[in-house]
Amino acid sequence: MGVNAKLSIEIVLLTGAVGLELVCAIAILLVHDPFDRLHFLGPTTSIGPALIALAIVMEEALSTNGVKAIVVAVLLLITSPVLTHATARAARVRQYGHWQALSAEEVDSD
Amino acid sequence: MGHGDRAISGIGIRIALWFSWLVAFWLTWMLLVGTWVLQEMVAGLVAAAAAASIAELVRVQDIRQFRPRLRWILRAYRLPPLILSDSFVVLLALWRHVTGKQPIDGAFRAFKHPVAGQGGRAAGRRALLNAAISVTPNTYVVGIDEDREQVLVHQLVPCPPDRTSEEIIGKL
Amino acid sequence: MNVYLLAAIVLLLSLLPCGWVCLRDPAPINRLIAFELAAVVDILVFLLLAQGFGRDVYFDLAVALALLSLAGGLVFTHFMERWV
Repeated sequence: MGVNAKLSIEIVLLTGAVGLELVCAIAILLVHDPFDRLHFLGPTTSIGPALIALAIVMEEALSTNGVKAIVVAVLLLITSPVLTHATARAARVRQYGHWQALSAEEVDSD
Repeated sequence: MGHGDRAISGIGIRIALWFSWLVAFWLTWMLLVGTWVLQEMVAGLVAAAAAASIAELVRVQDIRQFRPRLRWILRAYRLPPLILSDSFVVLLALWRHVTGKQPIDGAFRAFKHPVAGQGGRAAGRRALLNAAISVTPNTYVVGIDEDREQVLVHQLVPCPPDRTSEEIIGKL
Repeated sequence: MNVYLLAAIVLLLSLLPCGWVCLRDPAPINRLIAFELAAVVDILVFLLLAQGFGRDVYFDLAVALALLSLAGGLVFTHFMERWV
């Protein structure tokens, strides 16, 4: 692959990643409900880091640096659901005193 | 098997597990430093031995049990397309909110799912279910109620209530 | 200047909305969510700076911050749930 082609692909990947992070950060301002805001952490910790790691691996191949970039992307992907769940649960407890479902939220009954 | 034999096999298992931790941590150290010089290998061994000892100490406390089945973890291959499609759904919802076409109105949904049970298997099942649902941007788990066998989620773009379980669990 | 450094500079702009919410939002939980997003942005900025400057040690910063941001976030949620 030519140098220019590789650089072009890296630019596309980085533009996508940075654009996505910017959009999700602006979403935090535009959306006010905390439970709705939490959803925008999802793309920032899954697609954004993956695109950046891919760009770095294109440059570095699977050297130590490339592997570390992949490790960071995988760490963010794995830890994000844990943090989202814990934050949502804390927000729910603050709002209602408990996190259990209200009857109006149940979608199926026995 | 006599009492002495059980004690020896118990110690044998703990030593084997300690060595497994040691090898895993040492390999991780060497992967992160990226250079095979003697000093790094020795430093890695010392650090790995300390970490393996702590890991084994925590394991025998039996504070939290987590014993998922391998086939549950192997189903993770289904997640990347779900993450991509859900990210599109979330970003489209944001676009509609910004342009005034449809304001964002997320909702909680609680659906029945077999989540009760004690022990490592049941705990592993609940943990992986939570992770698999929460990694997709449109939905995350707020809580898993073992007593009522109910999963409470929040969705940014809610699906029809009667299709909640099918939409969420069916894709996993 | 290379594409990675440029990407890091542009990505730093994402901290502005997060900082605004952290400073101005009356609800502590909203500030926590903005803080968590800021932590993710910081990790990615470290990755980009590491590649942009060609400094291997900055990659280790990103790995360490990725682990610590989880621990810190969980501590905050624990306090948010019970005491704050």
